[in-house]
Amino acid sequence: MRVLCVAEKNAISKSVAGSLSRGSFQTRDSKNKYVKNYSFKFTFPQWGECDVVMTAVAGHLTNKQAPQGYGWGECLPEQLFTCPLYDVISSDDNKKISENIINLARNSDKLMIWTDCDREGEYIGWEILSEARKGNSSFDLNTTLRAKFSHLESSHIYHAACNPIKLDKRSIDAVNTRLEVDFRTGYCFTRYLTDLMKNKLKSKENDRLLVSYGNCQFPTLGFVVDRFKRIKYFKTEEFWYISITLKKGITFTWDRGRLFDRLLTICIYQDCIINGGDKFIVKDVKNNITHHYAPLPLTTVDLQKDCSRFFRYGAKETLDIAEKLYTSGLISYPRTETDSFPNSMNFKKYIEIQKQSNDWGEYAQLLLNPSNNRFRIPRKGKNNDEAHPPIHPVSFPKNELRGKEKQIYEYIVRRYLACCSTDAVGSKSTIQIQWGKEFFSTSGLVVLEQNFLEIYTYSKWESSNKELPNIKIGEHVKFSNAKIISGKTSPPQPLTETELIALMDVNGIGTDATIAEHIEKIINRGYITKIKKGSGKSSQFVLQPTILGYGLADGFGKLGFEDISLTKPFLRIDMENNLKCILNGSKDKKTVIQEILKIYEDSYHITRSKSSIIVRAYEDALRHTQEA
Amino acid sequence: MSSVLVQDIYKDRTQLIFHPIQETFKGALIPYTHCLAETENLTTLNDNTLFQIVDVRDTTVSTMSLIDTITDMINANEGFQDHYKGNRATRHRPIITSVDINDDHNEPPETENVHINNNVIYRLILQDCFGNLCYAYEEEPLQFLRGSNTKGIFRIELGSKLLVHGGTKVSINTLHLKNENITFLGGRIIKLNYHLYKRKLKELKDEIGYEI
Repeated sequence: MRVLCVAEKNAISKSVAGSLSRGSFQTRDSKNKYVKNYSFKFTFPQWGECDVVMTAVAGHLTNKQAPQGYGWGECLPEQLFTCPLYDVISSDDNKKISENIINLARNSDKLMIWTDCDREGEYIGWEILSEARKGNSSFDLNTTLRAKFSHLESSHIYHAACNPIKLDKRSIDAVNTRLEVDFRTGYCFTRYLTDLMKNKLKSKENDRLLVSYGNCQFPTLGFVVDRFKRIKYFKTEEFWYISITLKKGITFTWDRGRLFDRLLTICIYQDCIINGGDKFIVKDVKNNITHHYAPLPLTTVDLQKDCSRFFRYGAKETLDIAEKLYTSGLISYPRTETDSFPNSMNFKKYIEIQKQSNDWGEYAQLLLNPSNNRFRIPRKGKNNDEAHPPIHPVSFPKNELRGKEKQIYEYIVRRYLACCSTDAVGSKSTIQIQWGKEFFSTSGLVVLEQNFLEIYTYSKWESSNKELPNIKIGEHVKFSNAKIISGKTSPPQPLTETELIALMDVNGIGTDATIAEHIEKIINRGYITKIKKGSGKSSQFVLQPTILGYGLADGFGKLGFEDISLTKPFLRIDMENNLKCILNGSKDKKTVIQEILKIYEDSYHITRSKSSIIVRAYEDALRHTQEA
Repeated sequence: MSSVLVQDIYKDRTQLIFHPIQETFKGALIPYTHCLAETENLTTLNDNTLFQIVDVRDTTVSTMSLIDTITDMINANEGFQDHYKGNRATRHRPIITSVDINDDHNEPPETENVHINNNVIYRLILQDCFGNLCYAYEEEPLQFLRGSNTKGIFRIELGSKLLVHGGTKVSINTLHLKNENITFLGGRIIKLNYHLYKRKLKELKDEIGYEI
């Protein structure tokens, strides 16, 4: 039996070949210099010993294309909503990869797909199958096998090879739907906007300038513009609150927080003086044990947010490095939305691996020693993509890692060990008092046990310095000072990449895998820029729209769409929900495409009929900037 | 059938219609004189006085924040999406394109999900039948603003009638209301609720000179 295995990248292919052959494989070049063919023997339980060739693609093999006659300038942009579409091999490099697969398929009896186990991976599996069929027509969705794996550790890979499943047709349809909608809407709006803005944009490279539209790009831009506007137009408002000082260092804060009404604050203050005089009554004294919870298992978005927050790494950079750690077999698959480990997970196995570290080996040992009672099964989050477990370390580097790779690997290890550690414990004291009819409180914290914080050094939880007074419930206590204090509201902080990732995640813009790409894209398109704010350790990069980005978002916001928006996240959320309907079988691909494209087509016609609004918004933004 | 509860007690003062059970309110059609007098630190209202509620405002919320909330309610397209709203957005947010309130269909938008905690203090603007306006603050949480039938930013329909009893505290010329000092009569004034959110949005923006 001859088995053709195809992975999503050459590095995965090589690693899987190494695991299944126990390091004994032969390497042959393909016509594409980055893709090799690895030959070895492997005993599959269902077929016995087989000759295996393991090869790879380099991501997607094909892309959508409109036929001749639908090129730029050859048709109206809106015709792209209805024109026929074809899947074509996307580049000369991919043509060589396709030829390699076709040739290998001719001499194979079985096809096994080893692409990443997510929606995109299913579709790439379908692309591989489509090419392989050109060499061997016996391959189809029923006969093609699919290895399900989430990391490259040898025993896991062996298990995946011995327990294959099938490609998921619904996932393939969902990705195909997204690709078609993205193609039609992207090409239509991009051509229209580029032609519309060409003469307005001041650029030496006008001819090559592209004003692109993407249904994730624009909502991403929308978040940045929203924050920018919120800051730009912010109006400071005054507020008032009452504060009571018992003695130096012991201040009680008003349970109401603050009031935006000076007269009312004065009335309340006056009432308190009349009814309470210079004494308050102690209403409640509490001493509670409190917990600072260990973090949840790590998702891609959390990894990107934390690496941006702690190390100032860009989202794409983080994901690229994590990808490298994954293909090196050091961590599990880094694109996951899942924040719960499976019940069958052998947690201690992966802690054991970390014992050899000079930096955290001692802590790993501490966790493993049952007499310490420090180990716990990690908390379970609410998200599960049903494809991959949370990101965790699977092996220890043979050679010392350097630079950013080292930092991110260390973060992933510390996060995993923290997840497997007990919560930090503290004692929180709270005193509530009543002055007149108003309530005030103060509290203090003593950290009793650091637990997971010992290893998760990125998070701080410290005892408060103040010592609370020794007073009892019902006691009348004379205070030294009660006064009305005024303050002013301040504008929101500029948007950081960390926040943008969080906003995209919570609003369903992009996936764990693509969020970074969308941010990168709108930077490359010149819609937003990264600006360094502050200096030294407190410096950080913040995101701001360019004149073009601001003008586009502002213009689209003013078009007067009644129930749709191209710069807010709603349409994209709708599409994602529709894709889920395809996955669960409640809607078919054709219906979803028709429904979504109808909305975009309507918005396109409104955009075209009111195009002057977009141009004017850009010109206004340009003028305001020049005036400033 | 029309009655004083759905009439403007200031503009229709001479044509107010009282049902038999409302006859007792006639004696409360008197002016609120404290707003015209010298500022007094502490006094009380002399007699029962009938008011209509022309505005309700949560004093713990800034005008900017209120503008955000109303903008989002009217048309999410114009609202800001750059802040985390607590829950993963998994469904299309309903966008209200019209807040026309026509007589019998004058329900505030269903999407208003305003959480009220006990620390919120509402400030009312009351108008007597002579057109005098005054602030009234909650001395304690008022039931008629927090009952199961109340909702939205304004909690009640504007133009609702409120009977404030004699003896109610007046401090710095403002009324300080307790449940025991008032009788909430309900009702509305159609005009005050017409395009309420759009109108209020403009007022709030004007109040702080907000330019968007």
